[in-house]
Amino acid sequence: MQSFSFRRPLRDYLSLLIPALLLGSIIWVMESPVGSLPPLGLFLDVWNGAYHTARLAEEPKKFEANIPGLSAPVQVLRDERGVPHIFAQNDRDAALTLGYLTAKDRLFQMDFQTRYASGRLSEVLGESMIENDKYLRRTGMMLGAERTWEAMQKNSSSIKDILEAYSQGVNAWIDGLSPQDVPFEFRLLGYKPEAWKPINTVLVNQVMAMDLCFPTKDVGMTQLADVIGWEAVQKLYPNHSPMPEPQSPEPKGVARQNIARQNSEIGHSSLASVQQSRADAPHEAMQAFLTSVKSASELYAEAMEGKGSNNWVATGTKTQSGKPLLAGDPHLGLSLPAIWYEAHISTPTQNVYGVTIPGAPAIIIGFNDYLAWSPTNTGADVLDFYTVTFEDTKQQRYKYMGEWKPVREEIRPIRVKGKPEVADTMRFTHWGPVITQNKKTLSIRWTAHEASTIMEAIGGFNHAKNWSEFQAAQRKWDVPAQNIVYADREGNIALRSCGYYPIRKQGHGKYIQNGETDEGEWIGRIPFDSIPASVNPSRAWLESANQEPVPPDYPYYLGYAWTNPWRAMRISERLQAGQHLVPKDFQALQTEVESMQFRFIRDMMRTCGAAETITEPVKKQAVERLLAWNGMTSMDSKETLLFKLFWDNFASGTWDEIPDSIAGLPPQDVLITLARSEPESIWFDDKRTPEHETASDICKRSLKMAADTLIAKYGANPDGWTWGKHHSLVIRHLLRTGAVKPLWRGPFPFPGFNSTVLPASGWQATHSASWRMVADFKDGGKPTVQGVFPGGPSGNPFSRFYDSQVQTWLEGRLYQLYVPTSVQDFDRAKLSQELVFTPKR
Amino acid sequence: MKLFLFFIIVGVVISCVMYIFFGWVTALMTFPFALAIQRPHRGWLAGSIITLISWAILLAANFVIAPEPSSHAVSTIAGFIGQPTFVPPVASLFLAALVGALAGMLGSGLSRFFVERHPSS
Repeated sequence: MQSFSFRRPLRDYLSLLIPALLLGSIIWVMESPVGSLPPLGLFLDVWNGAYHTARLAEEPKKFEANIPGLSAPVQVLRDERGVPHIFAQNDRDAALTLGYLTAKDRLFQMDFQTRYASGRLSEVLGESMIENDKYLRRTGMMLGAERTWEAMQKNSSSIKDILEAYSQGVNAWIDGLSPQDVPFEFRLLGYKPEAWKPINTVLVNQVMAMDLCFPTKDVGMTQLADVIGWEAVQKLYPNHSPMPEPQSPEPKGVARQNIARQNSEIGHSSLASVQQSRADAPHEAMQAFLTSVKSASELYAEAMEGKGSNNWVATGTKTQSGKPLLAGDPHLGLSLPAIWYEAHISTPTQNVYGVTIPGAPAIIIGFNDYLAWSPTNTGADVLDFYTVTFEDTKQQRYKYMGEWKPVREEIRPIRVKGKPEVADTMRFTHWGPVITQNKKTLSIRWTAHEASTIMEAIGGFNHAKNWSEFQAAQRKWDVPAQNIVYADREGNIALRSCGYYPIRKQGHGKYIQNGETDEGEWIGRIPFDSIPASVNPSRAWLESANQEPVPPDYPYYLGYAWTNPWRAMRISERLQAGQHLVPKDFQALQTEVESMQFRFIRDMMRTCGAAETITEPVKKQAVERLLAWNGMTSMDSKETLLFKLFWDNFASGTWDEIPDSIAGLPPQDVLITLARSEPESIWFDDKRTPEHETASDICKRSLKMAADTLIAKYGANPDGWTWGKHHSLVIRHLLRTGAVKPLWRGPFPFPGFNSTVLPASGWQATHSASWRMVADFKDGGKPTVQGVFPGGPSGNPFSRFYDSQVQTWLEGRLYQLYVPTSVQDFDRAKLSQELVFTPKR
Repeated sequence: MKLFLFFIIVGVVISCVMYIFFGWVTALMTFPFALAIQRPHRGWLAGSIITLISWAILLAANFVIAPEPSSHAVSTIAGFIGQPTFVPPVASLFLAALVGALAGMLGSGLSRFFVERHPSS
């Protein structure tokens, strides 16, 4: 027998080496990320890649699990829309179960949002996020979260137990996950979820606070003054809307004795101080800051129109049933997985249904057996910037009231994916975190820096049985400040701008404050009994839509960057005229799209003479058609496109001296008021021409330009002007980046316009109603409620429940919300999944 | 030929099981079978067929277990790689055939190396 030998022809070695090398290369390519792309194996692996995530979307009819921390068995029944109905024997078990379910459905969203709030995106997204992390840390979201959690522990509040239970539930789910079981986004980004901590729940609220009340124009206002002057800034960006539409007809904000009037426009002595602070914070520092804000805000805190909300309520004297009707639709940057998580929680002490934010242990907007509530953003000024003068380059002491005060330092390294840690030293003044750009420094004070009791407020809402209990819970609501509309089965309605509103020594917080003095100090907060509120008003209805909530004679300074009053005006108009209202009326109003801008500018458009001077028949016809329009920006409208072109020209033609990038253009109500009351104002004059233009001239020119663009770009056939062909809405993935566009939905043809009741700003809207709800107390007992949101319960992009409600939402329809009283009461025909959780011994 | 078919069938079964429990890299497990077939010149074919069939079976199983989510997965993957919807499954199967063929070639090579008696020895 011949023996084995390594002495062989080269061909034999090559026949081993070549396939081995090729195989090795393929394995390497399949398993390694390529640049920002995930490993190819995630896409091509037929079993453990994306297809594994797809199989997880097909849930079993019955699911059982032993969960540590439960004190008794819990049953969860999902209805045909995938909404979980939690039946627990106590509130703690309910919170734990909600944590488990939310993690099961939305783990990536929970993880990512808390990383955002704590400035830890670099850990998972790499070094491109380092500057964002630095900025996010300096917003002080983490500072406030730590203070809140510390206060909860010190007070051993019951809400602390709820947060801990919720965490146990989340972690029970995480602990049972294999590497392939984690949500798709973790696999795309190549990281693993980490254990959930109770403070993460607080951070989730901080993200919402960031989104709703951090975008501020204080820095921009100060910088803009350099460009157009202080007087102009005060005129064009006034504290009070020139077209007031206060939400509270009988405001309770009664001036107290010894409280200085806070609400006037800024006086000259105050202005001098502001000018000093302007000198201390030069252009480049502020520009750098604005750039940081823009970059970090792309994820959540985008300062754009379309973010706001509507809510309204009517008493029985306005409704067909003789009982209250309530509606609410918070407007936010839409995302998938959806912002909200719909759930029903039933325990011996509560039976509450509505939507919560993944990460929060209670229902945030919703109803129970006795009452319903829905918020809108108040938009008050709850954040200030202060100039900081350091003693020297060591930045260890800063000047305040003629003395040098010590700076507190905190070193928290930033961990970076695939790179060494980056040292990050944060500094704090007595106001809050310090932001240094180009050797110039600002310090921030924000209501979200302080220990919050909002969780107690939300818990109180869930358990409240009447107005008195609900109002007691409202006292705990602080950040973000919200206008909360209320109705109950006893026939009461109410609207209160709940929240923490600081009172400044100098009376306002509109510009960067002079940090060397105490003029910008916060000396208290508006007392609960003085915040804007109205209960059972004689007019029988209430509404809010982010307008200035109070009339100009309200005794306290609340803010200045109010949303245009158009939505509020239209809702008020409809409610004022409404009789025998039924839920369908409220549903229709939620999707109403009349442009109020058009209504107020129409007369000027008719009289400016544009139609007469246009000779080309097709353009003349288009303009005449617009002038006869009813203002409805529906998808089949042929006029909206021309109006949009006109409006953009009119605004940019008027505000040609004002750079949009600093603080945005002046509010639309200021523009319309100026055009109607001061048509000869210098702001309408085009400096490039020798003539002095008036509002009418700009209107005429804008209309002619719009007609030219319409025909040149969209053709002469009116079919080509159909609004739905040019105006759309897109629902982005929560990562926002176009790199994950396959996880987006849309663009969808979409009706509406800037500040219509159904909002849809720009050519492609990204912000709109994130949840719609209509609650009817017609039976005098439990409310009958309908709702919808543009998403679904699941965060799995391959699940039918990822975007299952989007089409219904697009069509403006609502689902009847199913509220069984017990497991036995649950209609089995509606059952899509049964989950049984038992305590793990 | 019967032996060849037998090894193919056994190879497919084992390949599927290995894939499910240990991941796609275990597609390489096909090469021992190619080796065992004792037909060095057909190793690449056996490997290719075994891997292609086993991946195709698993791919199809996804659509049986979770039809709608699997369809969504395919269209999403296609979106990520910027290709028509049919491309991801075809690419996976092409990859299967390629990996299997290479593994089979490796098996054949090893077979020649260790089993064939070299005339010069």
